[in-house]
Amino acid sequence: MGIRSFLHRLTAPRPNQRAVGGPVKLVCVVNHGLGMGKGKTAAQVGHASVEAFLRAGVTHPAHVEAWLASGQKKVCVKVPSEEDFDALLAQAHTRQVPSHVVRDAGHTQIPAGSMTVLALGPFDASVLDTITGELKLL
Amino acid sequence: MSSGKVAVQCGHGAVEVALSARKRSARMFEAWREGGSRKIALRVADEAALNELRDRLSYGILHHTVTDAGRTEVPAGTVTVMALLGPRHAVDDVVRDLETY
Repeated sequence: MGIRSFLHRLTAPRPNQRAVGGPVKLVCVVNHGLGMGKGKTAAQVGHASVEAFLRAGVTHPAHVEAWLASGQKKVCVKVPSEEDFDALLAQAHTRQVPSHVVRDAGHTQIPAGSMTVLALGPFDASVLDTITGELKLL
Repeated sequence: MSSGKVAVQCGHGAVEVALSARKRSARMFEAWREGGSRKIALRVADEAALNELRDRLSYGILHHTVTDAGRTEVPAGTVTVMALLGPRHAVDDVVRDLETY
């Protein structure tokens, strides 16, 4: 190992390598207040899923591996407005759940910058249930 | 399927086809991501139409067919979604006649 990679190894942020116990899932919270069509919604959930797992692959590799190996369980729930994302995001941060908000480019149906979907996970299903368990399925 | 179920199936398809692109065609994967990961949801009438579509795919288009595990709304093994990822013109050529979902 060269001196630079040795230093890097000492100082680089450590990914969350904790072994994953129970089931792992990804929750997509859809902003229902925008009134998107169902095809639009499907595409936004696609954005959320791809971005969430690519980003979590860097920060939470063990969770992503477990998620891919177990059939990438996904659940789609809804909230009435984008203000509801704030509380969910705050809880996700305190519990170190990976999160990603999809912002629309505004090419179709809705204004640019609208927050369409909040992806939480892939993470322990038990933790996600405490955050999103009360929300209605889409 | 409910619209939430459909959205989730599209998520599955998108993730799988993105994984396969990252592995098999890194340049296309990067180009797709840099262009904002364009996605569009279209529909076909039945599984036969999906198979027919798959047969018409040109070289350079990656695809992934999502088969449901059957835990919720549809029987196990049901083909729900096919995800296509490829150069825009090539994909447009194949899906031109389909209606948006």
